[in-house]
Amino acid sequence: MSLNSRKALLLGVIFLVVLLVVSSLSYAALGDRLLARGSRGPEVTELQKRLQMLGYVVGPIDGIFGRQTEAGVRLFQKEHGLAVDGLVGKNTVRELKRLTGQTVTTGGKAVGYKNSDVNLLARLVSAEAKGEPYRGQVAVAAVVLNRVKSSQFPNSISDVIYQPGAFSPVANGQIWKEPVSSAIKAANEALAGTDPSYGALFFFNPAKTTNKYIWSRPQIIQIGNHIFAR
Amino acid sequence: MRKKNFWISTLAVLLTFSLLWGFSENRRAADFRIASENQNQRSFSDFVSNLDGLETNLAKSRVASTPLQQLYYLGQTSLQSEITVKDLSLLPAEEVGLAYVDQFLNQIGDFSWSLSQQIVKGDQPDSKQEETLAAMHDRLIDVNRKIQELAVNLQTNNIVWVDKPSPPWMPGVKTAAAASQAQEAGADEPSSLRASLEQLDASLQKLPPFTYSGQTDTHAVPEPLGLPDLKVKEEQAHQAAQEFIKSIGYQNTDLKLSATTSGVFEGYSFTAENISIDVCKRGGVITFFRDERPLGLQKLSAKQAAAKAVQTLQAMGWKSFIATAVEDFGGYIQMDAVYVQDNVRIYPDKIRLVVTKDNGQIIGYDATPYWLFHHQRTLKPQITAKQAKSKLRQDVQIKENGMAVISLPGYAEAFCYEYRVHKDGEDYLIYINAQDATEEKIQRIVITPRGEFLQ
Repeated sequence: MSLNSRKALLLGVIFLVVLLVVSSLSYAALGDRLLARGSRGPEVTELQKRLQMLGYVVGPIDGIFGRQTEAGVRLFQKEHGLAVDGLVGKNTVRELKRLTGQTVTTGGKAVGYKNSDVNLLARLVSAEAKGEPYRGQVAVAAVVLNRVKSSQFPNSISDVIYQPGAFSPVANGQIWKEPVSSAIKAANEALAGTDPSYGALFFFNPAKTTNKYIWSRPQIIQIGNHIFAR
Repeated sequence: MRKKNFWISTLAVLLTFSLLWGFSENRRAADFRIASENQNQRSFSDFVSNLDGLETNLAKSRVASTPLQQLYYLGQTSLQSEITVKDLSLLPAEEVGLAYVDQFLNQIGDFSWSLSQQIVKGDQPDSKQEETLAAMHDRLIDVNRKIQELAVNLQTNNIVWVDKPSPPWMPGVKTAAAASQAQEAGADEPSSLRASLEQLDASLQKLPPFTYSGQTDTHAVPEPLGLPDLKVKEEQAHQAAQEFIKSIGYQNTDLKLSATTSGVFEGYSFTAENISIDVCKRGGVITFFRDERPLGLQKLSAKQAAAKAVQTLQAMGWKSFIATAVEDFGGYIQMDAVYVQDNVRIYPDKIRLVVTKDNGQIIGYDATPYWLFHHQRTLKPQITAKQAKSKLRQDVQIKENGMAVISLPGYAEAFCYEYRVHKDGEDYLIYINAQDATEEKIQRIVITPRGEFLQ
C-alpha cells in the first residue's frame, strides 16, 4: 500500500468516525423522541443525569430506562405539576431542561450552574433530617444560614457545614450521599430567606443528645424530632 | 499425619496473608495520619500568620493619614479577619466552634468594613470610633501573642491537637504523652492545642463584646418593630389561624394546638393534616404557615400565580403589596411580596410566599421579616431624581427607575433611588441614597433556571 493511499484510508476512517459521533450526538439530544420504559441510549443517560441533579433516584446512570428511572420520572412529574405517566415527552423535557440549566447574564452569556451551595446544603439537610417533616428540613437549612450570618460562626455555607464537630453527617460520611429531592427543595426555600426556626443556631434530637451545652441553649421550637435553639 | 500437615500449612498461609494485610493496612493508616497531620499543621500555621497579618494591618490602618491608605488597610483588615475565621474553622475539634474567638475576629472585620464604607462616603472616623478601633487592637495584640506562644509550644513540645478519651482496651499513646507533658508544665497547662484555644475562648467570653453603630453582629436578638402591642390567648390565636386558612381556601379544616414556641415570636403552633401554622402571642398575627399538600397539574404561569397570590393578600387586608423575586420551581413558585408606601418599595417589609401553579393557592407564608422591620417611615428625599441620576456613570443605560428602602448590613436601612441599568450585556440594580447622594449598593442581576436572581 502506498503512503498516499494509506493517508486516504486514514482520512476516510477519521471522516467516518466523526460522522458517526456527530450523528449519534445529534440523535442523542434529549427531547428528540419520546422516552419510555425500555428506551436506551445517550438521551436516557442525559435524562438520568438531569434527574439526579434534582435529587431524583434513578439507579445507575447507564443509559437504560428501567424501573428506577421510571419511578424517578414519575416522582419528578408528580412534584412538578406535570401529568404523571412515566413517559418523557415534550413537557417533561422542557421542565427538566429548564430546572437543570445554567445561570446566564441578562445578555444571555452562560456563567455556570452556581448551585454548589444549594447542593451542599441539601446534602446536609438530607443526611440530618430526611425523615423529618418538610418544615423541619427547611429549619435545618435555616440553622446553617443563621450560623453564616452569626458572628459566632464561620462566614460561608461550606465553612459552617465542614466546621469540625459541628454536624455528625460530616464526621460519619453521610453527607456524601445524594440528597433527596425534598432536601433540595428545602435548601432552596431557606436560601430564599424562609426561616421556620425563628433564628435558631442549634438543633438536636432530645432523645439522642446528652450534651449539656446544647441543652442549656434557649429553646425556640420543636419540629418533628428536633428541638431548635438559639 | 497428612491431615495435620495440611492444617499447619493452611494456617501458615493464612497467617502470612493476615500479616501482609495488617502490614499494608498499617502503612495506609500511617499515610492517612501524615496527610491529616500535614493538613492540621498547615491550617494552624496559616492561622498564625494570617492573625499576625491582621494585627499588623489593623495597626497600620490606625496611623494612615490619607483616606486612600486608610481604606486600603481597613479593607485588608476586614478581608484578613474573614480568612482567620476560616483558618480557625479548619482546625480539628471534638465539639463545635470557638464562639468568642470567632465573634472577636468577626467583629474586627465587621467594624473595619463599616469604617471603610463610611470613609468611601467622605466621613472620617470620629473619636469614639477611633477609641473602639484602639480597644480592638489592644485585645487583638493579646490574642495574637497567645497564639504565637502556642505556635512555639507546638514546635518545641509534642502537643496533640485534641484530647480524645481513649477506649479502655487501648491506652492512648498520644493522650498519655500529653498528660505527662501537662504534669511537667504544671497542672494548669492545657494538654492539647484545642484545649488551649478553648481556654482563650473562655478568656474572651469574660470580656464584653464591642458595640458600635452599623454592626451586623447577631449576639443581640432584634426587637420586632411591627408587632401590635395586644396580647392574645390560645383561643384568640386559634381563631386567627382558622381565619387565615379560611381566606387561603380551607373551609372545613380544624386546627389543633401542637406546640408552643418561645423567643422573639413567642406563640402557638397549630396543625391539621398537611398544614402547620404559627400565631404570635404579641399581636395575634400569623408569622409562619406551610401547607405540604401534593401539587396538582400546572395550569398557571409563574406570573399568573404571583398575581393570584397578591390578590389573595389583598383580600386578606394586605392592601399595598407587589410581587418581586419570583422564582419558578415547576409546580410552585417562591416569591417576595414587598410592601409599597407612597410608590416607594419597602424591601425590608416583605412576606415570603410559596404559591402553587395548579390553582395559585398560597402554600407557604413567612411574615417574620415584615413584623421585624415594619414601622412608619417618613420618606422625603433630600436630593432630586436629576441629582441622583447624575451620580451614575455616563456609559450605563437606564432601563427602569423608582424609589426604594433597602436593608443595609445590621438592622440599618437606606432610602434610595433605584436604577436598573444595562452595561456590556448585563443588567444591574444601583441604589443612590436619596438623602446624601452616595452610591449605597450595587446588585448584579443574573438569570437562573428559576428566574431573575440578585447577586
